[in-house]
Amino acid sequence: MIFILYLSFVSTVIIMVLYLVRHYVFSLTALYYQKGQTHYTLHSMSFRPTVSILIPARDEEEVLPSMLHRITELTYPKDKIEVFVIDDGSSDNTGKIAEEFAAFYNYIKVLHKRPNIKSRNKSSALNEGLKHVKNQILICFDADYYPQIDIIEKLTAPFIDPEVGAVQGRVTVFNENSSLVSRLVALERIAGYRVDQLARDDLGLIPQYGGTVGGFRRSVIESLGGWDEKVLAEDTDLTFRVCRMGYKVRYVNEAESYEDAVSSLRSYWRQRHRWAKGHMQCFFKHLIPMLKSQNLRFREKLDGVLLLGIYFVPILAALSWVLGAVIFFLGPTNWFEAAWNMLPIFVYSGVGNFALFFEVGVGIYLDKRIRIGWLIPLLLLSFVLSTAICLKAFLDLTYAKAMGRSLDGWAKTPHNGGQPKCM
Amino acid sequence: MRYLAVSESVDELGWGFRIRERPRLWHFFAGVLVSGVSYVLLWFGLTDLMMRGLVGVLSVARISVNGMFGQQVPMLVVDLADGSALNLVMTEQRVGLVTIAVFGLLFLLLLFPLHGSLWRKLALLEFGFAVGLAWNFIRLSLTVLAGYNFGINAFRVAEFFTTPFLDFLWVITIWSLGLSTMVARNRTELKK
Repeated sequence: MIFILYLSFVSTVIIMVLYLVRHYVFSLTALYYQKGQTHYTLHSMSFRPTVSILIPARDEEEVLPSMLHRITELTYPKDKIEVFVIDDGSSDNTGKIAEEFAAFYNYIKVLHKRPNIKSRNKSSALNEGLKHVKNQILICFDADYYPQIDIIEKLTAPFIDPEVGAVQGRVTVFNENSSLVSRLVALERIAGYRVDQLARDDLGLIPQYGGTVGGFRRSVIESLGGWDEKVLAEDTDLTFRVCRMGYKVRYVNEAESYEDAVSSLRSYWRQRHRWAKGHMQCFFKHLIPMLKSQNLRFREKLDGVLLLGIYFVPILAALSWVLGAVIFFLGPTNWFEAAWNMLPIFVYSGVGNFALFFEVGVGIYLDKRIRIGWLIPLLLLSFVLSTAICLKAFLDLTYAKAMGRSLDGWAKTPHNGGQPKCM
Repeated sequence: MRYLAVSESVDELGWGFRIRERPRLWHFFAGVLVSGVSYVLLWFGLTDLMMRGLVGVLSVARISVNGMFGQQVPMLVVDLADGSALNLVMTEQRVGLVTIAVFGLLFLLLLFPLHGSLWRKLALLEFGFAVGLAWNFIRLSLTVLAGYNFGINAFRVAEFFTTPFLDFLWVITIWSLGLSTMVARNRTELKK
């Protein structure tokens, strides 16, 4: 019995040490890798593909005007873009607002779905948009985002490489000062994009398409059959489908969009719970096919496994803590103390990318931020919360699988209209 | 709108300052030397220092305590309020040598190679060591106090929760403070 306890404890610690090494390598790469991406802003380049922008929206009257106003300010040649607002049966003025913009700007089009025929989720709304797009590149934005004016130039630049199938830009929290929750989310975002995604791109691994502020080659997404409507985390799902097909996913650190991050514990819980459940769903869907894929190199497969398993890490950390506690009270041995001392390192991390505190710190350093760094010790709180979230997500997923229930459904993140207001 | 202004006006440098640094290896090796010397001094002196400090503090609180100094296994024997005795073996973990080592490693690997003054880094390192010593002394005193009043099991529970989980609070806090100090300095230099 005690042997099994020790074995389980050591196994969980080994897995976490693997993540520790991974994130340390990412941190060093983001800091010092001289051959890594500098920036893609080549405003003078002649590569200007035609672009379709998809904005799925349901009941987004508070934030849609700012987003559409921003779209009209984009510096990309307007004759090369078309914008589709997919009003997915909104019960508020979302459709009306979109129509008002469409009346003024001929490149903005609105697709209405009747309120009684609501899509099952964001994926089906995007698939509806996909039926109408004609351009070479497809860029997706959520309605509560606020992109840079030259973001399309930055996001489309990597597509000059025919091997690139998808691209992801950086998400930065706009309403950072709203609450402690939004500040902690900002910490996670900094580490997740500024360090994690950038390092994965630099090292030729698998940067993750995040569902928004990113795009695809239309031919790729069409050959994949569009978004999988049965998957909750359609972004993670698509990342792995694109990679398995042999295309690269690129991350462009400079292509920034500002998000109205969740600012209450309830919204945080709901959003992360959905992410965790969807990500775990992708773990079971993609793990084996990815390992068997002929189109991925060993290091990509290794990173893919670690990326897919990221939402299990808080559960493993909690498990090893419990196992460690039992062993501690039974009477620890010398080597146990060494492993026991490793554990606290892992509890200072954010959910989403399991960015350890030093990775968050490196991101803050690279962004030249000061005061937000003082909140790093508080990551302990978000870790405790994320452990509960991931555990519940895992139980819900298992229950849904056992009962044969569907997981899909529109999940709208509550926000407070923290975007800049349009004039 | 703060971010947008930075991002869109500074096209070449941009938000995020994406010019990569080169690691200051010379700073790293200087840090290894200084932290190594400091750690060796702590390794040989900290257990004794901690024991003497504890004996002093507990004596002030009129708790009977006997220190077995200079033994192969240094130990304190504390007479608890319930009449039993607590044999407190002074392991590296208890006296704080392990967390101080982790702190030193973190500083060496993640702060010394960064851009910034070597003296500032060394000062921050030694400051961190001092905070670690104080933290561990207070933590150990409080856990022994819990054991004295509520028995050996209370001591074990208190030790479980404070070591090493709460112990790491000072590590992370001092490290992040050190990092923000470096950032503040770099920003000042950049403005100049």
